[in-house]
Amino acid sequence: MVNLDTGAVFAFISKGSPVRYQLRQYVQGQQMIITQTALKEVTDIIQWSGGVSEQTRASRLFQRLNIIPDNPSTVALNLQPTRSLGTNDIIILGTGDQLGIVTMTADAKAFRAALSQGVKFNVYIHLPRPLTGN
Amino acid sequence: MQITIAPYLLSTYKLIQCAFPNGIETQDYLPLLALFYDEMSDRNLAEIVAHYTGRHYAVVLNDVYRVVTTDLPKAEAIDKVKQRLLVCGYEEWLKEAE
Repeated sequence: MVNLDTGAVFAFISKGSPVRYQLRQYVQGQQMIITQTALKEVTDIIQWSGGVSEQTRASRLFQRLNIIPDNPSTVALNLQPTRSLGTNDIIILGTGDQLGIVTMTADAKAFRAALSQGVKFNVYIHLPRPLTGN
Repeated sequence: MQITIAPYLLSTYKLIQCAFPNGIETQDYLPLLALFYDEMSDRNLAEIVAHYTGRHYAVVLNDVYRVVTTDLPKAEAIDKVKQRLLVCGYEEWLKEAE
C-alpha cells in the first residue's frame, strides 16, 4: 500500500511528466491511498491549474485511489511545525506512518525536517512536477 | 483584513514584508519562490507567499513546483531578489534554528 502526497499525484497526472513511468513502476500491484488533506489540495490545484488532459488523467487516477481520513501517528503529532515542516506535511506523512506504509512525496525538505527532530518517515522521494495547464 | 501567520512562519513573513513593502512584483515572484525553495517546505512556502500576495494557495503551491522544474528563473533574477532580502536580514533568517 502506498500513500500519495499531493506532489505525487501531480507527478502522475502532469502533461509530459518525466517521472510518471518511474512512479508507475513503483506502485505497480500496490493499493494507492490518499488522505483527505492531500485530496483537498489536489482538487484545489487541479481546479486552478489543471488542463483538460491533466483533469482526465486525474479522473482515471482517482478511480484507483482509496480516500482515507487523516490519522497521523502519535510520533507525528509530537513533531513541532517549523518552516521546513508544515502542519499538512505532518498530517500526510504521519497518516502514512500510522498505517505503516510508504508515503510517496516530492518534498524531501519536510522529510529531512522531521528526521532532524528524530522521526524517520518511510518515504519514496521523487522529483516534483507541476501541472502545466494542458 | 486580519490574517493569522503561524509563529514558525512569522520571521519569513517579516522578511518578505521588509524586502517587498509594496508587494511582490511579477518579475520577482518566481525568483523569490526559487530562492526560498531549499529553505522551506513546499507547503509552508506556498502558504506564506499566498498570504503576502493574495494569490490562491493552490496556485502558489503549483508555482513552487514550477520554479524547480519547468520554469527555472534566471540566476540574475534570483540574485536581484536575494540582494533585496539581504538588506532585511536574509543571512540571519538562514541561520535561525530549526
